[in-house]
Amino acid sequence: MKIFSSWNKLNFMKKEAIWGYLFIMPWIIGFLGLRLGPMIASFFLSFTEYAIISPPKFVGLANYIKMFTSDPAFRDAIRVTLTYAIFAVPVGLSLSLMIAMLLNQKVPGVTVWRTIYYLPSVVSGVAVSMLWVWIFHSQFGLINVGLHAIGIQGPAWLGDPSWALPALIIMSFWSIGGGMVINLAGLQGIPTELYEAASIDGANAWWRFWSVTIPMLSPVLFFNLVMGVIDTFQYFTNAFVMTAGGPGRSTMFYNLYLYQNAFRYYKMGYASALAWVMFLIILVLTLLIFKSSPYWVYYEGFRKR
Amino acid sequence: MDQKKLSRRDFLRLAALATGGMALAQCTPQQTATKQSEATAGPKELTKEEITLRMWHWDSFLGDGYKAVAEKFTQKYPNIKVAIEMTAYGEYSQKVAASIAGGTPPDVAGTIAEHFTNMAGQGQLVELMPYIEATKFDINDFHKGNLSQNSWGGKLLAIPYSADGMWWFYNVDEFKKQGLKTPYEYWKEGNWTWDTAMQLAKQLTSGEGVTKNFGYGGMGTGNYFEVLPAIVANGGSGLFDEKYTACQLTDPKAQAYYEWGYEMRQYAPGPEEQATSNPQSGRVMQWFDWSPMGPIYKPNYPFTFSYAPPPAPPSTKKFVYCGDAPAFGILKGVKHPDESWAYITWINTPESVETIFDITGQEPPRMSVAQDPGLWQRNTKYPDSSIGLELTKHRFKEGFYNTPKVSNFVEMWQAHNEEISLVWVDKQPLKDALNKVNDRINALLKEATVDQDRLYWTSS
Repeated sequence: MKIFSSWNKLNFMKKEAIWGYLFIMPWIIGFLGLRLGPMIASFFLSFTEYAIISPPKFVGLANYIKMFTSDPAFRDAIRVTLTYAIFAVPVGLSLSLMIAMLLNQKVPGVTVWRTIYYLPSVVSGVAVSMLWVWIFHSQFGLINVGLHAIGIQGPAWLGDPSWALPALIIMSFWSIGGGMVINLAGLQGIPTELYEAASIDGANAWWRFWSVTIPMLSPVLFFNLVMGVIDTFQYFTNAFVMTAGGPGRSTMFYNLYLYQNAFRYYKMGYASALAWVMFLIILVLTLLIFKSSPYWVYYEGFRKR
Repeated sequence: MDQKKLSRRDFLRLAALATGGMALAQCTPQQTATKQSEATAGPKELTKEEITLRMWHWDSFLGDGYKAVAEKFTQKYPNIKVAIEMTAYGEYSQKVAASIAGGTPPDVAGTIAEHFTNMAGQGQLVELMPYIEATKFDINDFHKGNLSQNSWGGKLLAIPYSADGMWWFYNVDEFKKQGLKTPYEYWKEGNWTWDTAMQLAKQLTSGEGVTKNFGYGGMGTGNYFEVLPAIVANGGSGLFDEKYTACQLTDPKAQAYYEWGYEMRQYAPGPEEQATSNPQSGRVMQWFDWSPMGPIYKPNYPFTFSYAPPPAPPSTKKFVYCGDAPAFGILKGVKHPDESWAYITWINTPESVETIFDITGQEPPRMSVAQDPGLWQRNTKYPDSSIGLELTKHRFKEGFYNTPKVSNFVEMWQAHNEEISLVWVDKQPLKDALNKVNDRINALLKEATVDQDRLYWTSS
């Protein structure tokens, strides 16, 4: 048959390539149908008024203009999300590194501790949010009961617009286990000879940390930083369950505001525009991080300036 | 002859081909549901095909009642089955929207307040008057206020399945224990006002910490957005002016209820306390809720309770009942609109609404049935069913204050909650919050599609 004779004329490399594409075809179809297709659709919908149950109506740049000129809720959502990112990401990275360094010691029972610290990051979702609602309870919550024991009157946390966002930032440290495990793997990949050489040269613990650990771990830190920034802009579940964006708009995260526009107000066009602006913000931040990486990320055998 | 064995590499290639083939097969376009033309009404014979009508709703406590009625419908029309599907209220609207967008709307769609405004405003509900006229459906047995809530642009788009309203529930045991006159008694003597309710709340509040009793359940930031206009109307004003050109929350009369609610806070559980200090705990002595909640409370509450109308403002002494008139409608694009109508009329026959009331306690939408003493006498689901009858008659007489039919009312509600929630935690003065809410609602009103029908209907 013609197809078989054509196949037989192909060289080995081409045949292997074709088989390769066939193997990944299910993923490609899924990506095109479930990711790229909806992304392209949302791009076009961002220029429309679309209420789902009626056809989209083209409005040009009206959604984008409204977003930047007459939507204070959009500005609040950006402010809340950036505030969260500025505190949660660096503190989370630092804590996960600190815990990883502690768990990198050769002490009996360290594997138990590693499990304990990692467990919270695999327990997620609504159940955890409900748990933390109780931990933050102003009268009976663990935190305020503890503060009361040392003579401090705890705030209303989730009921106080000044403290609701800090409460969610504190809650974010519960799931540093994921970053901790990655840091731990990175720490264990640092050659011990480097520490020995530094010790011989007279470096104390701090200088060994600053001159050996940080540079050698910098690719891992870079990865955690990029993922942390992306995760921050996609923050949703905890705010949705615990505060619904309140009190006031003190915890109205960007993703939550997008969700409200799409699924409560049926403003799919505006929500699509919000989604694309979020994509651009994340893209710009990620590019900035990548641009800065040659100055602080050390790759063995490769340095790009 | 040597048989050629299948090598591992060949097996993997065949498996990849098969997987890729299956994945591609899923991409073939599905047969789209036949687009139905706009439903044409008329006394047509129902289909003889075997069909299943899908009825969607959100209140699972009504399930048994509707199943009983559906079974009788199928006994009459053996080829037509009814599948009742319940979805949690918070997800109902999205599910319906997705079904409309996907071309598979339910045959009979429950609708209320925000759902109705969305569906009707987007032109997704079939006009029912041609059906009513063709089948001589007795629409005059339904309260005009409830019908108005389910109309858009002068067209009736859904038939109410309930004429319920909000009641003022109270813990009878605690009132007796303290020797206090009940809200019902105050109402009968013509003295049931906000001031009386606050006095009672003060007297009924006692204790501290985990054993504190609260004289009032509170509205918080308002759990029921449908009742906001009625709340505002309580003061003698309205959320909007008659022409829907402006919000009126800066009117002192409109602010009166909020000022009362703000004072009542001291007798009510705070936002965090509401999880443990709810009426079921027995520590909340008076609270607002919808009348059909009575039968749900009765088996679950460890105390005797009863009910009265919501208190009237002292300035007007006029009682205002919130009404949201939940209903059933027919969405455009359904496959069997005539059968959908047949089912809607079936569940609204006097016999069916009585059956549903007997099983679930859901108040009938038909005035003749809802005000039938015999219906309430034999009902064991409500405590004090004679009072239930009295309140129903009172409500039909006083009228309903409906949820405004404004396309972005959900956004307005969100704006309201954002500002008022700060008042409730003392982070913003009440007047400032109401001014901000007023401005935000006015801005949203400019973008809204509005149905100008009357909001308030008195008498039948």
